[in-house]
Amino acid sequence: MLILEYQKSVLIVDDESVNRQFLGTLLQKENYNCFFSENGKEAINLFQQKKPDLVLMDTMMPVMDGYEAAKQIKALVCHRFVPIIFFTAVTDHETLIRCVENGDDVLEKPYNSILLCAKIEAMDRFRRRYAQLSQQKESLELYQSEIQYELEFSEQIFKKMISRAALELPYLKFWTSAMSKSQFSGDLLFTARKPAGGLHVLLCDFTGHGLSAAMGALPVSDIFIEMTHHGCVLLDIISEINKKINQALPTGFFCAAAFMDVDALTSTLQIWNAGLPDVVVLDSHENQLHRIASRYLPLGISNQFVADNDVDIYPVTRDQKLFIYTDGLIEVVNDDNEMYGYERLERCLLDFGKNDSFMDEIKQDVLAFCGFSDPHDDLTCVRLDCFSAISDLTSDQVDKQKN
Amino acid sequence: MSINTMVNSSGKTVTIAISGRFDFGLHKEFKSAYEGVVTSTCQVNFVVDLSETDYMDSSALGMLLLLREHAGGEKSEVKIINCRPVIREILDIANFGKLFSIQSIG
Repeated sequence: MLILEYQKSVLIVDDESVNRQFLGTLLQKENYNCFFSENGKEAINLFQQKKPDLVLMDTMMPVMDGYEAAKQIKALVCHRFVPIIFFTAVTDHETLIRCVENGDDVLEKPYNSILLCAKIEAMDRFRRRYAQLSQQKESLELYQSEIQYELEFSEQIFKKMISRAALELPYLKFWTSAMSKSQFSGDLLFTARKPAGGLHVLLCDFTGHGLSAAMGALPVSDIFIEMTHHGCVLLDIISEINKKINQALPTGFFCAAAFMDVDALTSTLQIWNAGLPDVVVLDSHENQLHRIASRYLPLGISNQFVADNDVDIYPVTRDQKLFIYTDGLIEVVNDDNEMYGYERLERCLLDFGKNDSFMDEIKQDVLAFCGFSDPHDDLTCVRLDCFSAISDLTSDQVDKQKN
Repeated sequence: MSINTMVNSSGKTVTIAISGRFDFGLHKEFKSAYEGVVTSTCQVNFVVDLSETDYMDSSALGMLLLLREHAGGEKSEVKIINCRPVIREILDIANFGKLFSIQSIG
């Protein structure tokens, strides 16, 4: 490949031909391609045509002087640095200051060629550095807009998923900070109706944020909704989701999740906790809390989901409320760096858990605790009235159950 | 927040101690703590000492999984020692006892 060295160019502006010739010879020796103008006005026109890398400018000229020409040339190049060096025979303070104000440097006449070459070299160094910086700024801006685009992209994926995932059900209420931030935080709630009545509920907390979390969430959404609609049992759905995340995401990325199967036919509630804090079942009649601790690895870590025989199954009762939440709720901190913690949550559950307005109450309690500042992590809290869930049958399902 | 790596005299045990918050901010440092250790030629035991760790998030759990993979995955034995109760709880919720040998501080 032939690489042509970039030839720098200079615009020499002087009304005296002797000076133009002297500077031209000197600059050609320095490998500059030279253009010449006799006054400021001509210089501006030639500058626009030739776009030189350097301007050597006399101060006093007919038609338009060097100061005015320099001012207009500087206005023409906004994103490029083109050094302008003034030449003047008058060396009073006022003139020198005017030169530096309108240009970048000043040299006295008569010419000292050694000093002139040194200054040109120095100015060229500045010019190259400026060019390098502009280029870096440009690539940073490009990079930033690409990142921005990806974030918006993941946000769109997330929003689409949300619209498919979360059914509006009067007996399932949730509070999540996942929607309030500009990007997908990693928490996701899915609900899907079972064909024979009842509900599958899945609360996920993905590692990471934004695109990486949305990538993992994408297959989960499809598998969960479709397999539930096809009447698959929950364990098969969990195994499939675990396999998909394991295949799709690199080591170190996983999904803490809790699955709930609220079954209308058997009036039972089945809970699988894989990496979320204790799922809590409140018996509001006895005012007692039952905890279902995480017994499984979060999804995606192992290539196979290994279930034990000891499944958590509860009969569904009228006074039963189910609470599922992500660690962000427990880890909300106040100004003293104290966590909200299990004890506060437990008290809140015992005091208000039975109320249908529980979401407002817990939100109030948590926000009052942290002084109404933004929770640092994403948090989600879900309340499910299981009895209403199994009673919510379509007419089709009612007919089937009668037979 | 820092990482201190020690190799014992026989060169067979590498101890990585983490102080302060164990979160995404330590990603690079943690990786370089084990990446230089060659595990293909001889069995190396990795020990993660969390005695000075106050907090860990899910990306820290992810880093432990990466270390486990580097140490040989299923065949590896990575020890996590001196866990404070708050750290132990995070590891227990994730059921990391199925993958690592975990010891509480005591």
